[in-house]
Amino acid sequence: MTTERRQNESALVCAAQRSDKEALQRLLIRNWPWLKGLVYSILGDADQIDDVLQDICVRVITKIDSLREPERFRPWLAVLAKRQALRHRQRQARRPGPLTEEIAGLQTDEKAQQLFDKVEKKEQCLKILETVKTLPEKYRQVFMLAYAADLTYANIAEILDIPITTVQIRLVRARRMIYDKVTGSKSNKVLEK
Amino acid sequence: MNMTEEMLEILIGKYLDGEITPSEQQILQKRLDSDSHAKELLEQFQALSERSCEVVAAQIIGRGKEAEEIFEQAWQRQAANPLHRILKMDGRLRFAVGLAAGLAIGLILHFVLPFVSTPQSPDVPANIVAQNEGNQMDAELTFPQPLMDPAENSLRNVDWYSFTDNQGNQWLVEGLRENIVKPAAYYGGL
Repeated sequence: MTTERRQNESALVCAAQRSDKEALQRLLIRNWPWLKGLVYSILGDADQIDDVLQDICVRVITKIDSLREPERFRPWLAVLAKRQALRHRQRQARRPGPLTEEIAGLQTDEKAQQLFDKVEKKEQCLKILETVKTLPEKYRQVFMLAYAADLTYANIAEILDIPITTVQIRLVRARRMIYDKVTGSKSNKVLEK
Repeated sequence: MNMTEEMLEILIGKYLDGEITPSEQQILQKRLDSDSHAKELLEQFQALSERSCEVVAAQIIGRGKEAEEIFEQAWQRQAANPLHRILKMDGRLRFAVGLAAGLAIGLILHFVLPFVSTPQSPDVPANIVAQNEGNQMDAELTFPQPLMDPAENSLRNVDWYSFTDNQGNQWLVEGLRENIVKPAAYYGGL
């Protein structure tokens, strides 16, 4: 299954390298969910994702020729996406905005609040969201890939170019950190069923 | 087997992510049956996992522009950039363009450099040795010109030596740098 998927993807990469627009589009859309998750894990702001994704698309269109191993498209894309997201984050950090970080954070909270109005456990969701944002980046990346794109450990390992056991450990630790933050202490219950 | 807390959490995580193997599931099941704390932890992590899915979905999935739209905008953006069009040229075309550019640069250098570069060395070779009577340098002394080989019609770099033979004749000997000995030329005036 994985081999077949990889062969298909390699074929699409080869076609994309011959300037086949449709192949390139399919290739990107196929990887869209995790790409979005990865960008979010770096930016921590859903409103800026689209801009960065567009930049990533432009980079992929212009740089796909330089990919020597088509079967390694995913890790290549992940590196490119991380670089682009980090660049965007640095630009944002340099830009003096009218809002302070705290106010901006509150605005995000308000947006999140609106989104979760219909969700029964909105307070818990907000807590989780805030905790996810404070996770160390390496844990946040694995967490977002696991939850945004529902990827297997092997797929996450392939994208981030790390061993599967590292993915397992990082995911367990990310969950534990969220658990501890949300509960306040290990003895308390984390969530109501 | 005595399972540590972290091992338990790894197994719970694998179970929640659908990555658990049958043997691991058996181990987990045994632990859950015998340990109420483990069971409670599993339930809590399960709930946490469900909420996390909701949070991520609300933040990312179904939000913002469609992937197709973003791709189309990116495609148009790069198409509008002429530099990108050049970079996207076919390999053979790119090679031809490079070759033509190289040729043009070569031609320009060929025609421009002779005018820009320093002129040829002066007529007199630097390492000329001249001798006259009394070993006095004569201000009026005319030095021999570099030899022009009529056959090859080219200039040669030569070293000049002079010596006086038994009869008192002064000889000027040319020594070619290429270690070729040519017949000596006699300058009666020397």
